[in-house]
Amino acid sequence: MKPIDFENTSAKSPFKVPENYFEESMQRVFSQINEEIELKPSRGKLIFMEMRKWAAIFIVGLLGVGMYFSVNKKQEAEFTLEDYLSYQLQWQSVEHENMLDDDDILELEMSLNIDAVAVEYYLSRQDIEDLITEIEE
Amino acid sequence: MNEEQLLVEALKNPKTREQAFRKLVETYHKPLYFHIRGMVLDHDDADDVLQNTWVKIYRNIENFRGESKLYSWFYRIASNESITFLQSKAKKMQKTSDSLILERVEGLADDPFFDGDEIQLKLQKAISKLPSKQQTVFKMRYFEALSYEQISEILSTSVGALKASYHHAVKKIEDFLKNH
Repeated sequence: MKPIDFENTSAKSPFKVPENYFEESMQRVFSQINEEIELKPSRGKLIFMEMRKWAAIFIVGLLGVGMYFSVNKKQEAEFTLEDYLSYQLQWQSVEHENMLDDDDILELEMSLNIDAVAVEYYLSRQDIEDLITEIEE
Repeated sequence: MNEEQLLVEALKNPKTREQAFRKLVETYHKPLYFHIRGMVLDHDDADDVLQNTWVKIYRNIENFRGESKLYSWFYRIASNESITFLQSKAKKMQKTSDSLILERVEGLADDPFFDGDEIQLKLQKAISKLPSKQQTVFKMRYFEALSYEQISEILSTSVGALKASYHHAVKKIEDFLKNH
C-alpha cells in the first residue's frame, strides 16, 4: 500500500457531491436571501415602527403619571378636609375657653344659683360610696 | 483600499449588498462546503449547515468589524455552525458528538458520496481518534490545502503552534495506519 504523503497538501478530498450540486445549492442560497430581503421592512418603515413604539410608551407614561397625581390629589383633598374639621373643632373649644374671663365665670356661677345649703342637701341624698366609685372610674 | 476592503464596503452598502454577496457565495461556496463536510461527514447534513452558514453570514455582515479577514470570519461561522449542528443531532440521539462522528466514520464505506479507497477509510478513522483541535488543523491543512497563515487567522493560533499540531497529528495517524 502506497504511504500517504502528508506534505502534499493538494490532496483530493475523499468526499463527493451529487451532480450539479454546487450550482443548485447556490441558487437555493440566493432564493433564501431574496426571501429575507422581501420580508425585511424598508428603512422608512422601520423608522415609522420605532416612532410608533415610542409614541405608545409616551402615551402610556402620561396616562400613568396623570392617574398617579389624580389619586394623590383626592387623598390630599380628603386629608385637608379632615384636618380642617378637626382643627375647627379644636379652635372652637379653645376659642370659647379664651373668650371667658374671671368675671364671666363668676356671673355664670351666680346664674346657676348654687348655695352651700343646696349643695349639702344634694349630697345628703346621694350615696357617697357611689360617688367615690364614679370618681375612681 | 484593497480588494477585500472594497468587498466589505459593498457588502455593508444596502444598494450593492446583494451583488457583492452573490460574488462572495460564488467564490467561497465550494471551499466552505468541503470545510463543513470534513466536520459533519454526511452530505445532507453538510448541505443544511452550509445553507444556515450563508444565511448567518448575510444577516451579520453589517456587524463585521474588519478586525480579521473576511474568509476567516466565515470559516469560523461555518465551524461553529457545524459543531452546533453535531451537538444538537447527538443530543437528539442521546449520544455525544464524538461518538456520533465515530459512528459516521464507521459508516463511510457504505456512503454513496464517499469516494475514498481503503487507505482513505483508514485515514478517516485515524483522524477521528485525534483530539478535536488536531483534527481541525489536520483537515484544514491536508484536505483543504489552507496555508498555516490562513489557518492561523481562522483559529487565532500561532503558525508555530499549528505546525507542531500538524506534526503531532501526522505522527499519530502514521502509528494508527501501521497498527491497523
